[in-house]
Amino acid sequence: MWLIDLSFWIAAAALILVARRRQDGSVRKGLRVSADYLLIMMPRMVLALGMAGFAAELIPSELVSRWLGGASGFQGIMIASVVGAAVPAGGIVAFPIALAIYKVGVGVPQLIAFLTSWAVFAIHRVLAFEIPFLGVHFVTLRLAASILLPPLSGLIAEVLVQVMPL
Amino acid sequence: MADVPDPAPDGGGKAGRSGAAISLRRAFGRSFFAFAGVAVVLGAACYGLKGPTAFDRALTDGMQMMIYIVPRIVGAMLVAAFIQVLVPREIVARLIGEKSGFRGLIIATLAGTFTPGGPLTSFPIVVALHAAGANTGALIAYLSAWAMIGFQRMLIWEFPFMGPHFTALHLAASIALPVIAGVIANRLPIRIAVPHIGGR
Repeated sequence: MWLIDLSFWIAAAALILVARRRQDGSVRKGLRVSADYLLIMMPRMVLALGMAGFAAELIPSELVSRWLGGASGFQGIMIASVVGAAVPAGGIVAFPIALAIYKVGVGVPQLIAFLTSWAVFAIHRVLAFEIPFLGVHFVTLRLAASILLPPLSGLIAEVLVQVMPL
Repeated sequence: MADVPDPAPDGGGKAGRSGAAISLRRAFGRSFFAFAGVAVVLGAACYGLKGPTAFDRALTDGMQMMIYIVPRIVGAMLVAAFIQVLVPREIVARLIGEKSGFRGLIIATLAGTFTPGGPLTSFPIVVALHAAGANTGALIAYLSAWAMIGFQRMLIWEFPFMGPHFTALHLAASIALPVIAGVIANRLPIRIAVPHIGGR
């Protein structure tokens, strides 16, 4: 685990070196954007982790493992796809839910179907951005083209789990 | 609504005091307090329904996880921020605009994956690409890739929360999906009519 964290710091250091060689203030800009991110995301992370912890206690774990557990198979993937489509908010809500159900025994393919479905349907994003920017026809076309992807991602994950188990 | 932050309005260029004030206001805006409210309600429900032991366990769990993921988040955000600064979005737009067909879909998927920022960044790019005549499937592939496997959301949320193994598996399971969406979209008989706003 620490190796992966370390590789991120090495990647960050390499990017900073690249930015330095440009000599156009990129380093300063990059550090400033990082600080911005940290300032904006950190308080939300703390909240999200709290929500995930409380939600994990509140969610009935027998229900999750029965309907969405690793043994729930294709049926669980379909249920997860429907549930994911109903999450009306960004990562700050979706990932605490994902972490909470992960803690109480959701299967990996089911969780991946959930996340794909959330990314595809994202009601909040469709209403606030996609329809105003791109119009109803675009949204219809995108959803029609994507509606099978959440279960598909779950099935692909099911195969991958056999090949590269967690 | 902060999901993945869009770049600051001033482009993060000036490191003045007013810039810091704007960030602070963005960090503790209305959405922050809405989420804080949800967290408090969940905490109260946990305390009331499951008792103090469960409440303490949830808090301790969260705290431990925080300590564990802070170094990870700082590293991930440095990477995310520097990629954003070093890769101008014009390059992204130019790449998709020029290619068509299956290769166009693959390039659109890559471009969507590496488009930094939130919806205020990605949607204007799609509008501009459409105006420049990019093919519909490529637009769908681009947006799907940004939403499903956008590197910034994966770095900022998924990797710290779910860990490297899950994130890698998720990425592997999803990497072909935007291309599939694009192929299907090109075959569906739905004409799109993009409203003439936001294009500038």
